[in-house]
Amino acid sequence: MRRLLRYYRQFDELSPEEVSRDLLERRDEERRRHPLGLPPLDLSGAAWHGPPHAEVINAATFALRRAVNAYPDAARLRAAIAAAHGIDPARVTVGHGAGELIRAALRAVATDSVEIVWPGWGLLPQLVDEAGATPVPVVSPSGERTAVVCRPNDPTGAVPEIAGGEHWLIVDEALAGFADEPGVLDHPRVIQVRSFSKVHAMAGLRVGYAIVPEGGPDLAPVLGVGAPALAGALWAVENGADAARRRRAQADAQRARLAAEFPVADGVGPYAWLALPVADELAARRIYVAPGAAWGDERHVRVTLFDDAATDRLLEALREL
Amino acid sequence: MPRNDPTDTGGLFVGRRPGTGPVHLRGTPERGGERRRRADGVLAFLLLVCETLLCLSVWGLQPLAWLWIGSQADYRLGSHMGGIVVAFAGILASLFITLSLCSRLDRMWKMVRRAAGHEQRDGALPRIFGASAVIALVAFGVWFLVIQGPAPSMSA
Repeated sequence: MRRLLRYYRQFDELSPEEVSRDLLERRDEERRRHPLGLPPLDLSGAAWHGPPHAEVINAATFALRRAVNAYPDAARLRAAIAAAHGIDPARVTVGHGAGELIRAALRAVATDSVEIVWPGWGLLPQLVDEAGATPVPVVSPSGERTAVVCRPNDPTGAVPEIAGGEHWLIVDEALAGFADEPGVLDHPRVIQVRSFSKVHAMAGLRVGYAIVPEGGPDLAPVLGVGAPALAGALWAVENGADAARRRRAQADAQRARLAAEFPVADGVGPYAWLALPVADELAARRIYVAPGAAWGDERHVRVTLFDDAATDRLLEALREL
Repeated sequence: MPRNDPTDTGGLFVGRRPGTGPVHLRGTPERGGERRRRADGVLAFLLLVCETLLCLSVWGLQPLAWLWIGSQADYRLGSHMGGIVVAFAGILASLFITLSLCSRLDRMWKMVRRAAGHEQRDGALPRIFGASAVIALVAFGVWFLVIQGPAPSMSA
């Protein structure tokens, strides 16, 4: 009888208290292993740290519950983007995020070598390489070959002046929402690429757009972008300005706090380019930042700006160094 | 419909809805063979029958038994109030004891169901108790209004 009961007791469930006890023990163990008692703070990521506006999720969910058996139609989103910029919808291409559009643009217009204004977005050299060209780091485009420039710059936050030339210029404006609206360059050799990942916090939906000159290359993905991403992006274009402004203000405020005490490059955007080689020291305090070595610069680190609590902790750690 | 179907919540959901988490067993059970599982299925059914009979007894057999005991107490004590108190306290006490017994049986039933290969998350007791109450109420209504008929004072 006892054997029989023992067999069935295998299938007995833990009570909620017992489940919680297990979790609490795991937490205590985690604290024992990290005597500082602080949770890790990852300030090395590239995406916005918070969720998008709830209505973006609502719009995407609504799209999911409709006809996802049909192919998506980006016409409404293109029209909305075109209206926001005052351009012809035919010039707008919607793609799977700025990265994919830059990749497509490089494949379409790369010359034998492509200039990259450096430091810049970390994946650019790889994308140029994939396009069969040789990446050449420059301070500013020479106008002698295809060039890529980030405006605002990732990681420094600088907003460079740009002008079209004889060769193609790809402008990575993934962080444009954090700067004063730079406007559309009406130039037959300029492609501007923007993202919903940063200021609209929609990195997980993978959607962005390119503004291509008339007669420019076709950068659109085959059969388009998913319906939930299109719906979320449409809401962001039509109604997301306030939320974007709040995120920009939040990033600006955290940058100002950091810059008040430590050497931070002038600029805008969700990153601070800090002139202190402190990645290892911060990591020892469980604060992780992107080391400048990723850009070939050992003297800087890139700090992704979060909120007051994260900046408090970062400042405290930096003061102790 | 799967339990984690998002449309179940009206569309928008964040995290896991209450009551949809995985069942945390005490370990990784070693399951029996096909015959063992079939036998467990039968055993689970028998346990369910026991639970049902116990629940039904709360509404019929037990009150009747306590009314009889109450009448005996009334006769021996020579007090109507004594009989009523004994019957009432007895009904309540046996109700709680029965529910405690049913609860243990229900826990056993869940374990045996899981042993039989089902992903048994909830017990059956609340449903059985509710259903037995409805059955008892309907049976009482039929007896009171149809079989027994109106009271003599009303029929006169």
